[in-house]
Formats: sequence, C-alpha cells, structure tokens
Amino acid sequence: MTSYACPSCGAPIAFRSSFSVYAVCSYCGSTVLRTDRDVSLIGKMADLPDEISPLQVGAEFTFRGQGFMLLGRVRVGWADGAWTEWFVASARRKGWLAEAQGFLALAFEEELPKGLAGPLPPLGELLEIGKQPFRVSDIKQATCLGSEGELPFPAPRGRTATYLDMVSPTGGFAGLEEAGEERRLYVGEYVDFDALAFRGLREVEGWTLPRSTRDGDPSLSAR
Amino acid sequence: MSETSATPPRPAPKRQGRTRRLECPQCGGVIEVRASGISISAVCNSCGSTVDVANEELKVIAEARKRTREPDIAIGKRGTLAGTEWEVIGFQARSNPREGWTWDEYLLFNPYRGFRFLAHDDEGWTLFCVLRQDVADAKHVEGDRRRYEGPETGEARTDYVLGEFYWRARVGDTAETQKYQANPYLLVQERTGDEIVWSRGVKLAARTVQAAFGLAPPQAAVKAVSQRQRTIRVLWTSAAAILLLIVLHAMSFGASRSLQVFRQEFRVAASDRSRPVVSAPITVPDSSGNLRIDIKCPIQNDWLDLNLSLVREPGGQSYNAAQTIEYYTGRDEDGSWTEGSQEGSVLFADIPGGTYRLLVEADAGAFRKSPPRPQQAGVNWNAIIADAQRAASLEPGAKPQPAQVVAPPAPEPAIPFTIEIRRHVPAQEFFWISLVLLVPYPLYRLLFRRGSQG
Repeated sequence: MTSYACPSCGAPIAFRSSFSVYAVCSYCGSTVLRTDRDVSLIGKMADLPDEISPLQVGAEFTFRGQGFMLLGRVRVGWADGAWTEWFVASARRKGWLAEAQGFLALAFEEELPKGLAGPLPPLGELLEIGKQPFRVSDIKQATCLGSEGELPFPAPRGRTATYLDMVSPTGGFAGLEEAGEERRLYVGEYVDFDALAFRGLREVEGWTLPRSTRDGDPSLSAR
Repeated sequence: MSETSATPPRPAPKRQGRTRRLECPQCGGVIEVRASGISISAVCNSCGSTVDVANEELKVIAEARKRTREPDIAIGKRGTLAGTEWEVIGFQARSNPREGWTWDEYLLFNPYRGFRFLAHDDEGWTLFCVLRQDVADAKHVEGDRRRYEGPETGEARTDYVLGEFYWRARVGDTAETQKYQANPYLLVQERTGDEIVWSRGVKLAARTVQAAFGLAPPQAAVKAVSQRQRTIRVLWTSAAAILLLIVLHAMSFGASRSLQVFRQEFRVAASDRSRPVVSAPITVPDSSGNLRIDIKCPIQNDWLDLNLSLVREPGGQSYNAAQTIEYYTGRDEDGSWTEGSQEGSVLFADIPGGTYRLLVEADAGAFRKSPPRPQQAGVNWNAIIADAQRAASLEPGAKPQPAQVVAPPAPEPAIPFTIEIRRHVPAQEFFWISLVLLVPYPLYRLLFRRGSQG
C-alpha cells in the first residue's frame, strides 16, 4: 500500500493497488491524481447517497482462486435508477464488480472485437465475443453520481456515458461503456454472492450474513 | 504493492444500512425505503401516492390512491424461505384481464442475496428468481435440464401496489407473459415493450410460506381453488346457465304470451295458380311487435310455394314473404327416409298494429301435372281487396272465414294447408345467440385448461 497526503486537507490517502491512478479522499471528498511522486488535486466529490449494501471499499473476495479487493466505487445513475460499479483488483488483474438490482456481475477489460467497433448494436442483437454468443439486453445513458476510493480513471460527478449490457446463454456478462470517443469492453459473468466468499464486509444493520452452503445460495433452487 | 509504515487507520465508513426515511411530497407522511439505493419507486404508507425515490428530489409518480387491499403478508414482514431470510418490501396485485384471473406478488429483499418474487394465486405459492442469462428458447435453458411444457400465454396487469420496487411500478403496467411448466418448476417470460425478463420459479407448499411468515393457515387453505377446480366450476356454471336458458326458452314457448290473431284453413287447386286468395280483415293489436306466419300442410312427395303478402288497410302498405314447403318420403336400401318438412314459418320482426288482409298465392308440384289455366297478366291487388271488402260489407258482422276459396271441380287435385298468424312471438334468435355466447368458454377450458395443473 502506498500512502500520500491529501493535497486538500492533509489527511492520508492510501493507494492499495498499483492499478489505481485516481483516488477520492475519504475525509474531504477530493479527487486526487497519482503521479509518479505525488498526488494532485482534481476536484471535490460530493457525498454519495446512502445505500444498503454489504460491500465496501476494502472488502475482499476470491474468484477462481485469485484474491481480489474492492478498491473504489462509482455510483452511476440513469433515468430509472442507479447502480454501483466497484473497481476491483488482484495482484495480476483489475476489473469491475457491478452491483445492480441485487445482482453481481464481475467483468474484466478486453479488447474490442470487430463487431463492436462500428455503430452500437441495437437491443436484442446477437453478437460473438470470445466465441460466445451474447445478446444485447439493455442500453442506457447514465451519469456518474459520485465516486469513492481508488479508480483507474477519473470519474467526476456528471460524467455521462452510454452503457450497453449483453448476456450469454450461460450467464456470461459483457458491458460496453462509451464515453465520448472512448469505448471500453468488459467481459465476465454474473456471480452469486455466496460464490465469491467475501471477507471484510460491512455489517448491514438489522441483517445477519446468510449462512452459505457448499452449493452457494440455497434460494437459487433451480440452478 | 509497496507499503509505507505510517498508515493511519481508515476512517469508519459513512454509509449505513438502515431503512431510509423520506418525507412524502404529497402528504408529508413518512415513506420508509428498505432497499435504500436500489428501490426507485415507493408507495407512501399514509396517502398511497407512488413516489419516485431514485433521486434526492422526490417526485410523485402516481397520485394518492385509497388503500383498498391489505396483503396477506404485511410490508416489512420477514420470513426465512429456502435458507434465506427475506423481507417483504413490495406488493402488487396483478390480474389477467383477458381471463379474469388475479394473483398477488410480493417483492422479497435480502441485502446479500438480492430480490425474489413470491407469487400467490389460487394454485398456491411460487418463489421466483429473475434469470441472468440469455434465454432464446424455453426448451433449452442452459444449466437447466428440465423439460418445460408450454407456453401458456397471457397478460399480467398491475392493479394495485404497496411498498417499494426497484423499477417504476405503476398501476396499469401491463406485460405479455409466457408460462412454461415442469412441475414443481416454472419458467416465465414477461415482455414489456422492448424488455424481456425470464424468471424461474419453484412451487412452495402453503404451510412452508405460512410457517415462514407466520400466516394463519385456514383462510389460505379455504380460499385456494386450483385451476382444475376452477374449470369444473366453469363447467357447472355453464351447464346450469344453458339448462336455465333451455327451460326459459321452453317456458316462453309453452306458456307463450304470443297472441293468435288469425287462423284459416285453405284449399288451393291448379286453377288457383297466380290467383291470390284474400283473407278477411285481420286485426293486429299493439302499435309495434313481431308477427309470425305459421304454415302447416300435410303434403306428401310434393312442394308448395306460397307468396304471402300482408296488406295494411287503409294505405295498402304491404309486407311480403315467400315460403316453400316440401316433404318427401320413400324407401331405399337403407330403409325409409324423409326429407323436408310439412311446416314452415315466416317471421316479421316488426309490424305496426292495425288492420291487415293476408293475400296468399300458391303453386305446387301437383298443379304442374294438370294443364295450366290461362294466367292473368298481373295481379291487381287493389281490385282484389276491393272485391273482398265488397263481399265483407254484404255480410256485416261476418267473422273471418274460409270464404274466398273457389271450390275446384272434383277431379282437380287440391292441396289443403293451414295458416296461423301470431303476434309477439318469443324470438328464437335470443336463444341461439345466448347459446353461442355461452358455449365457447367452457369448451375452451374443457379442452385446453383442464390439464394446466398436473
């Protein structure tokens, strides 16, 4: 972990991952950019609205034998709601854990296939990503409502992007994010909360952590 | 990753997991949001308005509504189902307006495991989970080897909402549904505009849900009517309705309110061809109503063609009809057969009241066998009526009698028939239309819905 002093308030800002370039000071809400030696102030981030979730910056989980940590989060809002993107990283990989409508999807950045280089595909379109068929299930315009912790790029409040969600028959998930000229593709899968074996979760007042069984969430009975 | 030695402890997280309390923009009452940050619409407990809680600035989505229903499981109640503790955060009363079915849907929430839907209809309880995978064909769902049967298509309309939802729930929301079954599992597709959502459900025993949420069992048990029972009910009700219809129909025929206004026996011969027979004046009571002319003729292996004309006096307005009576019998290798009928009738839907004369012009197969008489060039109705009036005035007070029949010479074959006219006849159409309306639905249920529950 690398620690710097916040250029705005002097409080320590810890960079837990070498992947992180930006961080939001947990004391004063300033966004800072890490350069080789120092950090510089970018802007101030408003407090994020309260939301019910056991996930928090610093929590860890295991995915396919690799330990990951939640480093930062971006709260994204659209006309009909909001969701959270958690910036996660292991020693070798960085990715995003999306938390929306009670579902978790873990995805890692991949190169854009040719099918996604042209105009954005319409809703319902089938396309191939990594030899898997994906169907466009959702397209929406969304705005960054705020961010917290460490991030690989600046996510100022008000940053708008087009989000295109794709799902595969086996529960694969792919997300395309288009902000201005920039397009990024994240490919991964929907994951059960129990399958990630979280550690360091935030206690949710009034709720106890469900006892997970060997098979994961027993209420996903049909799986 | 490098580490510095002087890392101070991180400040405590600012976020908290408790219920968020908002002020209703409509009535100022408290709106509790249990899935804070996820729910985007919530119904005010005090005034029933649906409020958009997605943003800090609250907006009213739907005006206040009367609280017309109390869900069986109250909002905020918790219960453990399938190993997970769930809190009821939303309630929807839904219906299929095409078939008149209704059911309840509870939105269940657990901050670790997300959302489930608990549906309650007359068949029982089903716990649904939204599928996060592309389903192109319900018969080939990846990771699910069950053989689903269906689909049963329908419609789901939201009739009533309480609590909070992660979408903008609104009364009147309608989705097209497709249901596939592999007992006790269900696959359901809901389509709203562009959006398609698949869910998989598993049926739960009523006592499981009752125990989980502390519900009183007897009521739910008594209320439960399976689709099969419903089909039986539909069949019984329809059978009773059809029986009642037949009884009413028979009664209205038997104890008919209809009034006989005319009856006369006629005999016509070949010489009468194209020479109409005119009846005595007929009094048709009441200003309006239907009128039926019934003809009976003991004809055998022959036909009788009648041109009937009801001519109103005075004025000469006429109501015309033609009726053929044919009746044939015989024997062949299959035995004896008959074809046609010795009766016929003509119904006038609306004939104004007043005085009429009936003009009857007859032709029959039998007449063709004898050489035809020279025909009149045309029929002068007025002259005929004038004749008849003159005849009637000679005998004041004379009753309508078979007077105007010209007795044929003995060898000429004559055909006897009776004409009866009735006013206010019960309409047959009503019976048939009612029957046509009554039969299809029970038939449909009998054929297609009988096996909807295994």
